[in-house]
Amino acid sequence: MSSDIFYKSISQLNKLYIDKEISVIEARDLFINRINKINNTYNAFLDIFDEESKSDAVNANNSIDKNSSKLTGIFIGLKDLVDVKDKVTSAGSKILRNNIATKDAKVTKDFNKNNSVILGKTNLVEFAFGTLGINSSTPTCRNPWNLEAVPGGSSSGSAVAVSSGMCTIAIGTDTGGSVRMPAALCGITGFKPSYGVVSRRGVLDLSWSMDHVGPMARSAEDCLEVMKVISGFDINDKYSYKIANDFFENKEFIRQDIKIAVPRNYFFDDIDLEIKESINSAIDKFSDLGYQVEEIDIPFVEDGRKINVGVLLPEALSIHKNYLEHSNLYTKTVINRLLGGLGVSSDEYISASRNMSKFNYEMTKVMSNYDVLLTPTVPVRTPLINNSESPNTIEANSMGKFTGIFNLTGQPSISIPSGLNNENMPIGLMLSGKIMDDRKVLDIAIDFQNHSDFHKLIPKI
Amino acid sequence: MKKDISTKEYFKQLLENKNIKLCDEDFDQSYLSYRNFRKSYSDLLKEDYSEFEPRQRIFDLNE
Repeated sequence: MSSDIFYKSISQLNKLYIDKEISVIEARDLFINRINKINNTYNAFLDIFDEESKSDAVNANNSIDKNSSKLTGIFIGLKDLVDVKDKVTSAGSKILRNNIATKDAKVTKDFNKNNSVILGKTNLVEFAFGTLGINSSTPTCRNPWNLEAVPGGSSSGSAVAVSSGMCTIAIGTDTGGSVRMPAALCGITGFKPSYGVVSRRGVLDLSWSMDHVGPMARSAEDCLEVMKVISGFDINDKYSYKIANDFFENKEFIRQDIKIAVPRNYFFDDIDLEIKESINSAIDKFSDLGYQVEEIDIPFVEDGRKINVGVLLPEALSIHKNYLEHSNLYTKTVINRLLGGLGVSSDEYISASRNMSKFNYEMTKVMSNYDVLLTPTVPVRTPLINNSESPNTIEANSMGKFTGIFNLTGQPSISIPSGLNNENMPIGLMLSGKIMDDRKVLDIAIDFQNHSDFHKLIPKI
Repeated sequence: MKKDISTKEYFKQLLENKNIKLCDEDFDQSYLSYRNFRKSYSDLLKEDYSEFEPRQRIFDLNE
């Protein structure tokens, strides 16, 4: 039991608790011991909640029964942008090293209400502003599949914590792909819900038009269980959407009725050959399973990335307005990217914002004919940490080329593992659905994972 | 005559206005980001978006 508990699913852990094969208290001790043993190597956690998780585990253990929430006693890591009352929310920055939260974030409250056990705060790119997962202000977060490789960002620690079995679920944020990119690079599953489906109250902003909060887990099935708990309207988040009570409940699912579009332009131009092969194999798999698969072109899609950045960067600068005088406290990578947005006029920002609507209208027209788009998550091989200091490397600039499109549109989008390359590094494929059709995206990902084993691959720890 | 806002001198002035001091290496990297970003905006301003309000995501195609 002790060695394999770290990769159990939510349902498997729940069954173990109910059958009394292990208590939440014993399981917590195993996870905390593992974190204490290996975190110095991977640096996934910035803050470990040893005492708090002990009392949470006792409460969870007392409340577990057949009727309790499936998230009872499930071990969680929170990206260090998410507030936990009386704990520092540092955003991975020296500027906020003394920023103690006075309240819990909405997602923190959701986990507490469901008697989950929060194990600590996870590492990230400074202020969540970067794609590679490197942050010179925090201990270097390392990819469990190769310690010299980047984990991807910005939710680097969350991906590494799940991939290395230090927690079952982690929460990330995604403004240009920050849940899905590290999920792809670390061989796990990361889900960005539709915009507004998960409250961002108590989560530090990067760009209010693009920010999303989402789960990272071993499987899409676990992501679905988390979404049932953290989704829903929040009057205190002005960007929150009202969703139906059954938004994440079972829906009719007939493979033969589902149309998958594979956009061959842009998403397959200039990508790594092994990534292309892996995604093509997955496309064949979907076809063999009975899905309708069609290759298409989306001619306007290449404009998406610049609109995404055109909206994101001035918003980020506005949020950072009061911090910029401490420019020497920022990491070089972040300040050098952030300052690229200086001097944007109102005319320019509004033009980006209106272009965003035009882009989203065009995408809505495309999606009226299909249920999901199937693409690679990232176009490039996982870079090495040593080559990743500059904000302007080819890898840093191209990593979010595909994911950022769906922050613009707000569509639900998931990255799931689709294999390993010849360097034994994970490859991710991305499924992106119609806006507010989150359950279908998760169902298709779950179906794929029920017929493949890529998500079960684990790195040597 | 319209000022060329993508020059190094203009960027330097923007930094000075915010009282931001950078070493040469950081200045070059930031300026590279700035120049790329200027190029994106000049492209975006050329688009015709007159029928669209800012940041809309949900559309009824039947309307």
